[in-house]
Amino acid sequence: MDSRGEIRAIDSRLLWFVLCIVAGFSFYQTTNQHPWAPIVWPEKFTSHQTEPVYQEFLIPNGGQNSTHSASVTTLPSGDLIAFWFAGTREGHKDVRIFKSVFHQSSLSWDAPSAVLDTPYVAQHLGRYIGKLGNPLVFVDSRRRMWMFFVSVSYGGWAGSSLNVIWSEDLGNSWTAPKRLITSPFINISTLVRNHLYELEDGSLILPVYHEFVAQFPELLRISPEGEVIRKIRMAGSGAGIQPVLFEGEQNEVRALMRSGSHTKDWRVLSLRSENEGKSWLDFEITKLPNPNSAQVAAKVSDKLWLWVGNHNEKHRQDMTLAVSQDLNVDWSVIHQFENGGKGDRFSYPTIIQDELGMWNLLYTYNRKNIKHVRFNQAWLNQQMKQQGQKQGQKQGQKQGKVQ
Amino acid sequence: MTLGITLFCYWFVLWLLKKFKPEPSFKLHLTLLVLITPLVIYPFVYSPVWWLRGLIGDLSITSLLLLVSAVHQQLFGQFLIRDTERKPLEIGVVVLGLCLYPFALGLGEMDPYALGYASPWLIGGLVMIAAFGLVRQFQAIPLMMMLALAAWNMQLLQSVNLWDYVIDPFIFFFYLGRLVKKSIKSMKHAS
Repeated sequence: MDSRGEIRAIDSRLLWFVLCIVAGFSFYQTTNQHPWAPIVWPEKFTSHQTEPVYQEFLIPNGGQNSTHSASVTTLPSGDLIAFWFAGTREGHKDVRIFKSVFHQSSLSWDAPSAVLDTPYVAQHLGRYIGKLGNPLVFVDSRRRMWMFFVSVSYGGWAGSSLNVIWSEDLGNSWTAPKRLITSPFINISTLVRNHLYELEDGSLILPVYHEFVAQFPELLRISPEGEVIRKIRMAGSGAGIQPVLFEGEQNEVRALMRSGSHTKDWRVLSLRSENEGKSWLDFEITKLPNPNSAQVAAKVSDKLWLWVGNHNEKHRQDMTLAVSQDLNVDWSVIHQFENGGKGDRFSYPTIIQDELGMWNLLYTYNRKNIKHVRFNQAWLNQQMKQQGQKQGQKQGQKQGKVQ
Repeated sequence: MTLGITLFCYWFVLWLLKKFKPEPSFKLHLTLLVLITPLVIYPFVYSPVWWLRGLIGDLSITSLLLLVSAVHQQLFGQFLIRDTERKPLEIGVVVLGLCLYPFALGLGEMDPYALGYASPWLIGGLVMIAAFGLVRQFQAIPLMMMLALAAWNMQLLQSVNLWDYVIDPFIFFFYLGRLVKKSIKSMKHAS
């Protein structure tokens, strides 16, 4: 100790030596990075039914007062498994994450069972947790079932952190929750909503969004071990939230975004990547209206995409289906699954195609249930044909008036 | 890792003790630390650490070393960081924080936080800061950088991002506040 009460100096030669060792190890880490790999898009199945099929189911809500934000995936058996959060109300401490299985053989949903609750997550994360939300499920090529979900310790959803659990037996038992660190600012404000995909090297690409201070979409790359290994900002503030990724034209990756509360344009926002999602071109504002609500989009075939969401600028009283045969042109509305009145709320759609070629759309039905709509390609073709005929008639009437 | 919260609680209790008893004995210090340790060392459900972890999370290696220094100073009256290094350290943390937080929170399209996933640019930058510190015969700054890099190599924190080993918002706002306060003071003196 010197006269000023300071500690004695360490030999600088030792410090230089340690710095060289640490620098060497650190630069070596940069050589272990996973190179970017192409996205493995879901296989497209052909429905062999020529007759239009359209069915509706309400998934039992297990006696919960409020039910919201479903995520669905197919099981290797061909059945579907869905997860959502439910409780007294959104954000309440008693909210739990539930699951249910849809059996293709009986065309029925199981009674729901709880997978996660707040005390369990808090105990395993070693911290206070106030609420849970937005589960997102995915089965990878090794049959590992992943579930991402958000948790909030204090404050609103903008204070969310991302967590993950996984199951090696397709959802019967799960690992303990693991908190992913995704933000330098006390790790808050990373939320998930829409479907993730696997890359060819087995890592996952997870669309997320940020809400604290500014709203913007991001991609997280998750290693097969469940660690965040890369983060990509898809666009800056104002580019919307809840990105939904889907396969575009000729190796393009497309993303549509919910307008978010920071915008004046109540329209769906669109982004495009030409290198498998590694970087993104500037966002565009589409003609699709959006009342700051979630939506979903998927590729049906080489020349057909579908979109489901609230097709207006003000409310969530509808659930509308639109299609596009050229993503650079526009979307045409072909059907309304719901067209409710005041007090109705239909939101947070998610869609998946099963191995029978059926499209399975799930969405929040008046916050009371999750509704499941099942339709096939023939039904989709029928709706498109009917819409085409209606438009033809309208054009004919217009021309008649002009003459 | 709850070490940051534990160290903060140690420092806070020792600081509080000095407010009531200006020259406490080493024995009293030690007794107090032993008494609070069960409450602040592990996040038992409903323990202070459990509540605080919900808000704070892991602290960076820089903050941990500064807290070690603060606890050491309370216990033994010795400064682990030399006077000559304090100002460059304060400025360095504030500059790093200003390069990181506004952009990571959405200012512009660049996200510097993405460099934390094993980017040679960030590693190179931190090695340069450490080397520059050694050339200037500093100790604390190079040690902080080296320990942050070493801890990141060993993945000692929950995060895999190098930024989280170097800086956290608490140390950034603490030093930013001090710099602003000092600047206001010096402006008042000048006028």
